[in-house]
Amino acid sequence: MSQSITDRRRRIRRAVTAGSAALLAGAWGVVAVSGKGAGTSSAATPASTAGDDATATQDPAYSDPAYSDPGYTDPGYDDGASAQGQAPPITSSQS
Amino acid sequence: MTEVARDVRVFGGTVQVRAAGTARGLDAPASLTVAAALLHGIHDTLTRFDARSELSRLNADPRDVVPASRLLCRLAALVAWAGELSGGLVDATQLDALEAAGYVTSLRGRTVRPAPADVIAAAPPPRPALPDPRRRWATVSGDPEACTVRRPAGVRIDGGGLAKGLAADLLAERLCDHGSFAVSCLGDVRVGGREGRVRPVDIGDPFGGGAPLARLRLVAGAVATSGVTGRAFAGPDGRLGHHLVDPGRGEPAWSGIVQVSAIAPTAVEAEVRAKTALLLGPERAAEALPHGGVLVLADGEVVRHDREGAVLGAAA
Repeated sequence: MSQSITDRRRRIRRAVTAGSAALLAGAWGVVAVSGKGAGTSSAATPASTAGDDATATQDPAYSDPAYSDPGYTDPGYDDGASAQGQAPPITSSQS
Repeated sequence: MTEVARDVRVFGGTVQVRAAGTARGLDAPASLTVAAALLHGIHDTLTRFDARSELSRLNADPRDVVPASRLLCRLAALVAWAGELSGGLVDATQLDALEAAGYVTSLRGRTVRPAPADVIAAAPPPRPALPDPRRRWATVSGDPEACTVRRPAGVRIDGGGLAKGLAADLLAERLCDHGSFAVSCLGDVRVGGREGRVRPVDIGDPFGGGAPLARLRLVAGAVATSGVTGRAFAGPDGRLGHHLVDPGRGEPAWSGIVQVSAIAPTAVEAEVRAKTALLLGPERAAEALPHGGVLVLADGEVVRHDREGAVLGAAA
């Protein structure tokens, strides 16, 4: 595995952990989370220190296979390429 | 710029997330991986179909004031906001009525689902929905500073469409620095991005046809579609029902509108406006659609309402 893929996975892991902490703490989009989200263990995780792998792997959500492998070969991706100009269409329908 | 897409199975269906370019040091595939993880987190917190979720634990809690994550506080705050915006028609405290109608477990995986034509054929004479005079939605509040949710014990919350809209809006906050992005969260769509590109938003056919009924074009903003044929089911007495409750009567609503797609700045607002318009019925639906929308009536007629003012950068 190349270093770039390793680095990329680390960046994703950091973002997942920081995003999860911010989500539960209500500080969505803010890098530093004060830990004021008392009452939930995840919310108390300061996002600013949640970047190292050891901390990231403690995130219970991270074991979900849906996103454990961020490789480029994920079949969920498509190359629905959009030329310059209009973005690809998306559908709003009853679920 | 190439846009990549990812499908995520949550909320009893499939959420599609799209993005192009780089933001916050992550390329689009990486951002979508993060988005997928966060969607699972939102779902696991707010689903009512898992007794272990934070929402389910709140609903079972005998205290009037319950410690909660800020995500749940945010949902609780939306309950009162939606009730106020809709005149009490979008009432997330109608879980008892919803369950009595037969919507107790997730519809995901049910092999026998009523056909749209059967749902419409079984409908009673149309009438506008009414608000519940008890106004229980007004008793729900979330305090993000104290991290508590307050409501009288026994008043249960159904995340429903509010949770889907909230999820779409939260993902939009994460993805807005990409060149372009789109989130389609089971009918609740958010689009935008730095490049300001126009994106077509196709409106699905409530009668099951494959072709879209209409196409909207948005630069940034939200479209939510709500209707009576997508989440229909047979109740305990065999009668066909659906998930949109008439709060004043405590039973599935039938106003004569099959589906509404509403435009709004945010997905959660679009969600509330679409449901309000549907519950009001054809005569008054436009009152709930200040940013525009598309109605589908029981006879298949498609009625398009233009926005009242310039909003959202929406293109015609």
